[in-house]
Amino acid sequence: MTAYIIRRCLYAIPTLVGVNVIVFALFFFVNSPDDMAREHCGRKRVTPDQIDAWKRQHSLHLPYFYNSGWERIASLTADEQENKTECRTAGPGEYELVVEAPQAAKEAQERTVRVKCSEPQRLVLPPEFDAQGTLTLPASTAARRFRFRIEALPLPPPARGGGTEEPKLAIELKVAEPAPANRVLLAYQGPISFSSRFTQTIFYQRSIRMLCFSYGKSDDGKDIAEEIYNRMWPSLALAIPILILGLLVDVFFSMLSAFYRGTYLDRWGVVLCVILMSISGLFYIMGGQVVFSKLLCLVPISGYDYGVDSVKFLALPAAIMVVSGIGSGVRFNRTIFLEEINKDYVRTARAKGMPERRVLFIHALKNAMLPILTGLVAGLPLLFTGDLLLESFFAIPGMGSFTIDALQRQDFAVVQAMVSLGSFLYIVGLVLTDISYTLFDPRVRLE
Amino acid sequence: MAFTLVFLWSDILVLALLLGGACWLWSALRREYWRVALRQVAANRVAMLSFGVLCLYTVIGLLDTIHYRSTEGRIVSVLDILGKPLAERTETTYSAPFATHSFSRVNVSRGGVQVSEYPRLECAATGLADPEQEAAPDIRRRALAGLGWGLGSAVLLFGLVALGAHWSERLRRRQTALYWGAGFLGVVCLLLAEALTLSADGGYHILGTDKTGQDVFLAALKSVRTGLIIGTLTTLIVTPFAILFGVLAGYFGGKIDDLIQYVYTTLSSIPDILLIAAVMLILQSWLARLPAAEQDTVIAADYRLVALCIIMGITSWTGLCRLIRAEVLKLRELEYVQAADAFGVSRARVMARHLVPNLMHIVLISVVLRFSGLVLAEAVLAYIGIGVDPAMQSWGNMINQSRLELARDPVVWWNLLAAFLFMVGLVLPANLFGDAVRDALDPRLRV
Repeated sequence: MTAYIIRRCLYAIPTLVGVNVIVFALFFFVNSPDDMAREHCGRKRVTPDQIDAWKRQHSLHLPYFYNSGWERIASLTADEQENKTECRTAGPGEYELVVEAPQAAKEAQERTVRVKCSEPQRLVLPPEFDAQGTLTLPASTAARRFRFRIEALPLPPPARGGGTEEPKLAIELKVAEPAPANRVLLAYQGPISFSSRFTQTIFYQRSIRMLCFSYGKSDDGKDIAEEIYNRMWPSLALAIPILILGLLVDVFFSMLSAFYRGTYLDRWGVVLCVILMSISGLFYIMGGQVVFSKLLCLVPISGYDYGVDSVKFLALPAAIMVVSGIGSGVRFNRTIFLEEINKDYVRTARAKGMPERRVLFIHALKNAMLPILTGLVAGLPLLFTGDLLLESFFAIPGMGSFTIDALQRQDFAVVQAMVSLGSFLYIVGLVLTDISYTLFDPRVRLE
Repeated sequence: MAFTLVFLWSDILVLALLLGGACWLWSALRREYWRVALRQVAANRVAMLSFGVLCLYTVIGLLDTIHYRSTEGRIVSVLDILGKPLAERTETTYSAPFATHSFSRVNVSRGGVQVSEYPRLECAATGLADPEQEAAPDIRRRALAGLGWGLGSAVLLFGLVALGAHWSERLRRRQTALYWGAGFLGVVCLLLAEALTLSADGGYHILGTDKTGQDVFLAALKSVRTGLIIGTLTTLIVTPFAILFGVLAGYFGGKIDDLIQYVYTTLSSIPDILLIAAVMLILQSWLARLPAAEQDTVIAADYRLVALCIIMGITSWTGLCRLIRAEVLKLRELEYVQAADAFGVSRARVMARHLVPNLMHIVLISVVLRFSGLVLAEAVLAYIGIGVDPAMQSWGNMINQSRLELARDPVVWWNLLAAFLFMVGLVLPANLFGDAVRDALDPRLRV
């Protein structure tokens, strides 16, 4: 048995990895970090610098899978005719100069870039540049990139008192007309350790870490894991009573229907079930809220309180959920009961002269509960994730309202965390179902 | 008047669906098995009444599917033209069903004194001099007229059936069914006549008006198309893939089976709502980047509708795929498939000729049973803000609006009521019809 459970759990791992890869592809490939930033900073009228700043703030400026160590050390936006920046760099090594150009052809113009170094003899520029380190680019919308490097000193620097002085690098950009979408970027390849070549990437930071339940921070700076821990309890306080009450009510009515099978009570009961099933859950919630809270003033309209007081906030949502679930629940359970009632052992019990009530409630109920209960097991772990609609309508600070708020704020970090957690719990549910089948039903073989 | 037909993406899909459905029906009717099943459904009175209601909805939906560019350059449908008298009768704001006065007070200066009063509606009960006194008799008169027309047409229908039964032996044998049909059509005529006479020129807003003064009845009618498309296209877009993968997995087994099982377990592990939300969020930023020519609200809303159908389909194809795989596992051991294999029939041909036709009942059952769930799901998605475009008429959007209206005092309830009536009117018959189809095609699954 233990070996079976362990094997079943191991089977779940590839699925978990697959989910993470799909989620990663959806969130970071199909919707690139640039799109995300644009969406957040306002769709039109957003400058590349704003996008960069947003990405840096959410550590989305990292490369996807492999960090080669290139890092941007300066950016120069052509918001004036002459722009200049100076940076004290990390020293000798490879540099890359990217001259970006505006997307629109009408904004294309001639640009002059100049690279200056405090130790010009160590600067090795590509042949396009002239002796002064100047390059004039014609008006075009194509981006250009140039590599250059600063040579290391051939000998250890002579001890001239102040120790080693890193060379200073300055770039200048001249344009005829300022255009903020036009800019120059300077990148530098610094030393990077082997492990951080893989960990300093979006894939590791945003996807692998999810597998280890490290969810990071939401857009408004809150720790998601802590938030989940706090919000889990109200969700459970709502979901567990609904599960238990719903089970009792459904089983009761479906037994009643099965007991009076074939009579008018049964037939109209089934019709009523279909009618109840045909009404959207939203109507139950909205109708219940208006009738019981607003018109009859029996319970508060919405809100939540911890401790014993929570009962008065949870009573109505729980009742609504139970009622809205009756239709499909009773119909489903009734099928199982009817199937059970037609089995041989029930006929034998009846033939022995046992009263119908005893047959139904002792023999059939016991066996029928097996599929019903094992069916519930799959949903058990998902109780943690809460009910989106119910929690948002009744303002219960649970996981469901957390998710819905995140969706409305477009907080991708939280949504992604919820997707990961939800699919993990779903897989746990599958594993639990399999295990409970093998535990309770000896006919299911362990393979 | 010159006009050009416009085919939106969803229109093309609906037309393709209709064409495909007709072809399938034509080929299926030549098989005894399907004819027997169809006869069984036809003998079920509840199912046939439900089918009638569904047909009525379909006609409304189809009228709304034929689009063309009006002279002003807007894209309108045939239903828009038919509903023009209603669309033109806009008030300034809310008004209750059958109201003659506005729902909210307006300050008017009457003889220099500021009085707050309920203004008279501009486009309802225009012919009445003193609405306070005359409204009730007028409504009664119109209702009676509608009743007269409706009953008249019902009597005419019954008369036709009786006459037909008198003359023709063939019709006499089906007399009962024909009377039921006539009765049903009579009720439809009655409802139609009531709706027409009550809201005809100088009539009333039978379901009130919404915040911007639009007639709610018309809005609910316009929403029919959205509901139907979500309910049908969603399953039918992905059904070919579900069949293909299910058959491949079941027939070939081994590695292919493992792979396909892995894919659908992984996809079904991701919480549905969150996956839909992620895709819809991404779609938004994609739509924002569309060229301006396609930014027309109707076209953009249509893109969103089709995308919603596809993604909802992706979240729901796994169930069907699993069912088909299980069925193919059974079928492939049957003699006729083994014989075909032994004769050297190619595998593709075995799948196409011997397996797929024998799976169609499962496909049909799942499509019909899934329909109502999808219509209900649309409302939930609209509430979360990831459903169809807010500018598009849908019951979900109506419910979403009415959430704020229910918080008003006194309550504005008619938007919710209209959505409720129209949704239950569609979902209940769909459920009943679905049950009948399932009973006819797969008696083992009988509930």
